[in-house]
Amino acid sequence: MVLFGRKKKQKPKIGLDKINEPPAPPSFLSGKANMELPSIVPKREEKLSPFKQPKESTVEKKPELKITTLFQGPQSPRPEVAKGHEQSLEIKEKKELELKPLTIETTKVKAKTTEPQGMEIPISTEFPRISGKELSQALKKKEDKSIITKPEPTKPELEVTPIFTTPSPPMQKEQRTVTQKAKEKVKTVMASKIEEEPVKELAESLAKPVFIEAEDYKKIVDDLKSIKAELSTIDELAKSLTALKKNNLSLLERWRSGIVQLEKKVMHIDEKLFKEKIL
Amino acid sequence: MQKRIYVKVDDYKDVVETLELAKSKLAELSNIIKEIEKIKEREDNELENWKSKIEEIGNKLEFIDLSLKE
Repeated sequence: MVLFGRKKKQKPKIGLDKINEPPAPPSFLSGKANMELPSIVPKREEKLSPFKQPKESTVEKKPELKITTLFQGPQSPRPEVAKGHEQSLEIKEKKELELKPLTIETTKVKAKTTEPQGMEIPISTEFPRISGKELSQALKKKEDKSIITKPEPTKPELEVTPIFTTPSPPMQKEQRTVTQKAKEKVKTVMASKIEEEPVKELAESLAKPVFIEAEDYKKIVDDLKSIKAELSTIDELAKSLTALKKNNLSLLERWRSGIVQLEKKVMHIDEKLFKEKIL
Repeated sequence: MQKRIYVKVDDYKDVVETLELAKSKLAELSNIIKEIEKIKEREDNELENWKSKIEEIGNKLEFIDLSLKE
């Protein structure tokens, strides 16, 4: 128990060895130089970008700015790195600078690295493995098929009266019937419009003011006067006719009564003569 | 050159419509007169018939009168 308690706990060695601390920045200048700094100090973005070169003009003119430029760009002293990891850092920098597009090979490598070592992925027997060439061929075939099978955008049919007779494409019966129906409809609409046109013209002409020649107007007025006079005479004639008809009727009544009286007298005579003979 | 003078007709449509009505009425009147004429012809024929009948009756009455007086 005692032995275990006295032992100091050692930290496990993981990754890098302890890196030396970077050199401490020099102290700021006192006085005027310190006061002028904020106006000349570059912006934060510029500070943060490690690969940006400092402007020469500003550096040359004002050597006081060396304090600030010490931390910028590649000129700044790099912290010491362990020997084994220097290469990795250099590779990282190169990758950042070059930014090459990832190729299939790199992805394959990455895929290999991502797989945990020692574990095997069970290969299913249901899905057969296809080689790269076969896959590419299959993809090409698919692309070809997709190009062929893509439906072309259908344009709406516009019915135009054919001026030049061109060989029309073969149409189906349904399409033909549809077009014929449409044509018939158009014909009926046109006919109705043609019938409506004179009516519209008449209405429009009636809406407009109408003028008659003065001579014609005088003739019309005279004719109207004569017609009025004739109508009045006709009315008088009709009245006289009705009066005559009344007289006729009374005469007819008198004539009827006369016939009746005559018939009675004839009967009387007949009775007298034949009774005397019979007796 | 005589200048033509035109007179504006305000209610042309109304005038045309009444003219059409007057025309149709005149045609109706002419038809009625034709019918009256036909009736008149019948009356004249009847009157002629009556006239002849009365003449016959008068002749017969005279014969009876003559035969009785003789």
